[in-house]
Amino acid sequence: MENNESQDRYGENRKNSGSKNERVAVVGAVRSPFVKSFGVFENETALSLSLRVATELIARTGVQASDIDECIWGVVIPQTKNANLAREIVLFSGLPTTIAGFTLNKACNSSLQTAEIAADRIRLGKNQLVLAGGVEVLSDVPIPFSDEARRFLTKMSRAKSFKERLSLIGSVNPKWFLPKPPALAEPFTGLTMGDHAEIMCVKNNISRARQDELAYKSHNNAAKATEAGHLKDEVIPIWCGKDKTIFVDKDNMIRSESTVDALSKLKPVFDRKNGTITAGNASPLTDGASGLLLASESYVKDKKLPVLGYLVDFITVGVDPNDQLLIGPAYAIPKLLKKNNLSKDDIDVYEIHEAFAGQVLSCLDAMKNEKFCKEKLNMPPFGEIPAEKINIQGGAIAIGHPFGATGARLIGNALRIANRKNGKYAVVAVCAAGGMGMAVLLETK
Amino acid sequence: MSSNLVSKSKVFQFKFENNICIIDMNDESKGVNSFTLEMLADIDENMPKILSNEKLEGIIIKSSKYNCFAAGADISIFKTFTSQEAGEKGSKDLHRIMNYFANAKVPTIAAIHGTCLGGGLELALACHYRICTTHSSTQLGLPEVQLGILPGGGGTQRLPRVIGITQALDLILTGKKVDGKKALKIGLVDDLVPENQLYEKAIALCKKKKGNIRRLPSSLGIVTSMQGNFDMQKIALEGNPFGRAMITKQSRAMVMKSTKGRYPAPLKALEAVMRGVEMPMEKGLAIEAKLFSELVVSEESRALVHIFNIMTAAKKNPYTKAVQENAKKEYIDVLLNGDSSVGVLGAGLMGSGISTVLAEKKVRTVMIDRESAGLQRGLKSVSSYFEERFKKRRIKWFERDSQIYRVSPSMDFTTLKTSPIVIEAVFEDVKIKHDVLKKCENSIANPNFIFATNTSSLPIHKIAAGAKKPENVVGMHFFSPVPKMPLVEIITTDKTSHEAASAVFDLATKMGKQIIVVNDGPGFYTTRILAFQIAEALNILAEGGKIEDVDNAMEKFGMPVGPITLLDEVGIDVGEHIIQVLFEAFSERLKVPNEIENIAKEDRKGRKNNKGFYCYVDNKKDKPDSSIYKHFNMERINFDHQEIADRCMYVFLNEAARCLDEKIIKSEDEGDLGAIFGLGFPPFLGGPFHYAKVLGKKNVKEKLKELAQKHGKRFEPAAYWNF
Repeated sequence: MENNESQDRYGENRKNSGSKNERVAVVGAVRSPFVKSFGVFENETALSLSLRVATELIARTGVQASDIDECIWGVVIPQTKNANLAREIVLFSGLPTTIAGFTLNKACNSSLQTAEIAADRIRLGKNQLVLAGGVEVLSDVPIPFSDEARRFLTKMSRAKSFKERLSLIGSVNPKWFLPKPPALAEPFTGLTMGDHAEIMCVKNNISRARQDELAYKSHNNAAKATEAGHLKDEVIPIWCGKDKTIFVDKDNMIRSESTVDALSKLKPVFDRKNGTITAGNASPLTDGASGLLLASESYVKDKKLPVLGYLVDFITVGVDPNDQLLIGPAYAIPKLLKKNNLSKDDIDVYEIHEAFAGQVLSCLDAMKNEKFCKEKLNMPPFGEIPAEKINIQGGAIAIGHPFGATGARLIGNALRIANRKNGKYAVVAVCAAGGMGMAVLLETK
Repeated sequence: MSSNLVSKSKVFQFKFENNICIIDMNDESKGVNSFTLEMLADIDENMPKILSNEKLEGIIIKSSKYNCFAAGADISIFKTFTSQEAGEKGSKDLHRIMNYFANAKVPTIAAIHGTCLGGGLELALACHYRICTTHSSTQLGLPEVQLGILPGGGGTQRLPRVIGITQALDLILTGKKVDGKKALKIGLVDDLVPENQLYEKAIALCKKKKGNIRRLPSSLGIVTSMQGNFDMQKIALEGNPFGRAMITKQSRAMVMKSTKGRYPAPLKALEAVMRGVEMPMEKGLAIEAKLFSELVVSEESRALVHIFNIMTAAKKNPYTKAVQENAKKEYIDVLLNGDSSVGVLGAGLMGSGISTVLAEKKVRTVMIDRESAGLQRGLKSVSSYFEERFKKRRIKWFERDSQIYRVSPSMDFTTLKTSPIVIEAVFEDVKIKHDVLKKCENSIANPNFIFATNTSSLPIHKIAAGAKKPENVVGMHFFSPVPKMPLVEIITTDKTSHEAASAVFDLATKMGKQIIVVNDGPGFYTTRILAFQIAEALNILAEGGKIEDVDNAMEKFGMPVGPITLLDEVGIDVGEHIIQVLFEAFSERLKVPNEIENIAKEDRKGRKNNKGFYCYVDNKKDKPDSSIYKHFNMERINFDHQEIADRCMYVFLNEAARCLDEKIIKSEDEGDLGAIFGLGFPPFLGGPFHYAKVLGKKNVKEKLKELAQKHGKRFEPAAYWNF
């Protein structure tokens, strides 16, 4: 009896005592503007952008920072100098040192994964308030030396005699020291993401015209949403540049003037001869950070905090990278809904990540396809998701795709749309390198 | 064995351990160990007994006071130096006491943890060996020049013999402190150890050095025989008379540059060092005692000791313990652990400066401005401050980054939700102050948040009048540039709660500021007396005085900049506004020339728009702008510098006295602190009240009467001068 409260903090004891799992509330969701890489954020770092988002999120939500148990952050191409970014966010911004932190990498699912872990720990009663999110600043990535150069340098540092060093230097090939920028390629297949998307487009017979149409809609929807002020609560201003002279308070890659005609004139970039993927119908290299503040429902009630919505369930799928690398959402969405006894039409808002227009269309087609659904999911066809429910404020093609930050952006965005439309459920789905996909079920009330 | 050793002062504990005598200092009656006459008498009495013990194998002197070895001589000792002779005797007494340790036949070791300053370091220097801890509280230095004296316990003689002449001068002439790491590097200590190993390492060293004691060279002679590593550069520079002559010349030039010849102490200290190294220790010590005695009776030293005393006294939070604890719990703790941030309203020069200092002390701030461009400038000034410190290697890159990151910019008051304290530094207009106060009240969840207003002239009660909780409105007057200017003037109204005042006091203390707590009134204390002085300077211009004469006269008096230059720096528009506010309140005596209004009207703002009383070339002050004289219907004439200084200073003294009469300030000491740290009043004069006492209050009154007859009511002596 006397230990009641401390035991309550642990899920197992809760289950044993028959008490219900905590619901997980989203009490805050903000992000930096998403901007073209190597541009206005070139003097920023993954750390600076992340902690700006994190501190602003805490300040706007109005929680006591010391109530936060943990910070979980995602980044796909991490800097070696602050490998555990999540903890550095806490320490460098002067937040209470009691907030623990860890950093994870699950490719483009990273920040969805941070939200899932945070939600699970809250649900188990281990934590009450958690900061989750992710970042990507491609302007701030480590440029490693080649393997040969690395071996030479470590040998040199261990060499004992002058003679030994001299002979090592004699063996040097200057070519080794050409820096190797990180490639956005699949290590397992050796192909780039674009190559894989091309394979998907061919396999699913996705025409160039359909892709350009989707890209056009992405820009058009994003521009309209920005104009209407729908992103006002989501995007925080950033002062950047060497003397903080650059003020950024909007995404800078959305083209309101984009037309299908103009998009159709772009040349394919991956398969230059027969390909259909262009710079216009793929998501661009992007810098940005995005964060969520997640809390247990009892904490929310106790502190009388306003809530954006609730995280209901998560699912991750893995597929064979050699088949269709980015098809994950087509598996994850039907499975997630089935698991929660919901049907396609129960969902009011779908946010399906736009890595490539062709990849989104492949997923949507697959979910309609009887053969795919039977063979891969052992389900009847999922059916067609109405266009007015998908990405109605644009997607990554227009807004941009900082790998580690996209998932968290989509959760905030989906909940805000669902609230505005008075909807109940929203689904977010994101494909990821390595042949993975994640889907999240959200509830507004 | 130690039974016959008694400490009458109850500060020392004597103990023998394996024939090593351990002397432990801990003055229970004070926060630090500082040498009193009783303590010195204790050593005088006991040391001969200890040294005469035949089995003695070593002496270790240590302290069990929290983070303090010895902070130097107790300031009460200064009172005993009533004459030059008394000063010389005092220094010689110290020498005799230090010599017990220096001349002991067994190894003597100082085991240093915590502050080790002045006489404390001189005692350590007299020991044959020194070990100190790596702890951040361990700071070694000889700050005597800051009190207008020189190290009179052998410091000027032993330090150069231990660490070399140039290094010693670097410490002695500036009074700066070094930490353990630096102390080891320059050879000031022999070992650097973790705190919990200090004692055993000292014992081990003592045993190791038995029968093989290192003695200081008597004189440095032709070739230096300093301790430490063989250092070619040192020998080349310090080991020959030519090099030493060069050191003397350069050090003198450096001292003259930084003191403008106003402070005799560094020069005498230089003399003590440079003459001392040429001769045997005993003679050097005699010179030290002689020069020391000359300084202790100087007005400069008396003024500086006075300042030291009142500074120390003012550091204590004046509110009751219960109030302090409540305030700390509700407002300060959450800031120190990173839980909440201070809201800073306005990203201008003041706002960004306040954010900078808070960030430097690891307090998070949210800096709010209406415009993104304002925040741009504010953030730039924050980051360039830390970038500058990084470039000067004062901080590491990660410290730079984390300090810059502690300032969050925002254009939205909703980011203040959890701020327990807001400091506003917006435009000086009651309406705007009321507007931001309302916005804070609407955004901050805790209705008891403190609204600290950084105004230089607006009455606090007028700002508080718009508040839901006027008891939580308090004035917090910073001086520009905030990171450099040491004063914060806290202004309370009759409604301000003690908790709010105490919290703001603690926050200002955290920011490393010197504080005076004053009562509300037009211009409070500092702004009011300064405005009278600047107005007087303008009156002199109106009567035909030249800009450069006015400024030069006041600089000659000892002010860091003249009043006209200061007006240009502050901004003519700002200054004019303040003077007008005060004129409304004190129109019966404050005289302001009408011309200033026209000057402000022709868009002369001073340095900020490169157009003021002076011309500015490449952002640097150049000659006085003679075109400004067209506003005055007077031919320029030559004013006597003494007359200018008298008028500007006496009006200042008189108004300070009125502030005391009207209980704006609570004491003369507060008046002195405010003028020195807020307005740059020359420290060697000890503050306006100290200075007036040196002049004689009666004489001041007479002079004021004389000036009042010539120039008007503003000089009519305040009641203060009657007593």
